[in-house]
Amino acid sequence: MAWNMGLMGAALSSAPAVDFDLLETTILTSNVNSVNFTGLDSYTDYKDLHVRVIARSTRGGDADTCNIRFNNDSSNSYITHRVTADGSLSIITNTNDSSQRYMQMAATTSGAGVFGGGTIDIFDFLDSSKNTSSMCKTTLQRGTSPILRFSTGSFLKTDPISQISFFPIDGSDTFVSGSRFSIYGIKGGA
Amino acid sequence: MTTSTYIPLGTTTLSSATKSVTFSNIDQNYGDLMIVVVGTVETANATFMIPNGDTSSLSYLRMYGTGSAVAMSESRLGMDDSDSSLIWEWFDYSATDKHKNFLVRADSPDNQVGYLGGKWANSSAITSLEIYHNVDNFKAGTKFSVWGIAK
Repeated sequence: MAWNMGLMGAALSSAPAVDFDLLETTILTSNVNSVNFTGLDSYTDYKDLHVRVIARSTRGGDADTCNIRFNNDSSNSYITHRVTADGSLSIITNTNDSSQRYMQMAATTSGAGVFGGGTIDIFDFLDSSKNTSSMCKTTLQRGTSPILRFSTGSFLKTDPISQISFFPIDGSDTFVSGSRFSIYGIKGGA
Repeated sequence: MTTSTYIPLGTTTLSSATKSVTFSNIDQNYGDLMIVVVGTVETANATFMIPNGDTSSLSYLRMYGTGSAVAMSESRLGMDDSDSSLIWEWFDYSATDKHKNFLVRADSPDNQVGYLGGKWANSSAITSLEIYHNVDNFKAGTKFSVWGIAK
């Protein structure tokens, strides 16, 4: 059964109202050390944030990790639990960390056109009574096989999230041109 | 200024059992694609998704739980002969300078829950997607939806 999407364009005109909006996107046109989204506390219509990332770095080797930090806070206030499948299953917990260890990225010796991709969900990001919980799903082709990782994290502060920073785990590395970082807002109930 | 996203591009519900559904001429104006399949299959087995008719450049890795164990393998996720769902996300599907990553969540209540990642090792923009069942048919009533995610 085949469906020509070009003939299904009428679906756009009858699209339902959605409570999931693109807030901001950064698509790199040159290599940079970090990507920062600021002023997120102005998005008071939204309860949760959803992040979509496609990234590659200049790190040596064929894989890198993109960390995230909230509110430019580098204190040891982050916990990350990671379940990784890469030929075997492993579980790692990072406590008292200075950032959330999240996205898998391609690196210098990865094949041409190889990027890591994934999503991060950040819950109740403006709530000043809760530590900030988040969840990341990411995949990367490393050599001939994919890596698959599922992570959850806690930022042990109750401050509303006004800033999210993305950076390669080694501060001397950069994201490469073509990497994309998009942030979406999810509305909650009244 | 925010932009609405998760735009429904097309949906179809099967009126009869069908082995394969193809969405072609996919709108290229979005960042990512999400394909949602909800329904049942005649025989529990793997579900494939083939971009641009190319079966040669796909790799997969899945982790899954069966209720009694967790495991991983380099294979596809399946659907079940009871109500099941697949949510398949393609990243930067319209890019012409990147291989295409995908993430999949699958839920077969009588069988397993799974999470899969992989790559189509091709830099061409994805203009068509074929979804087909490995051994049998999707049953009538199974619903296939394609969503564009703004970037």
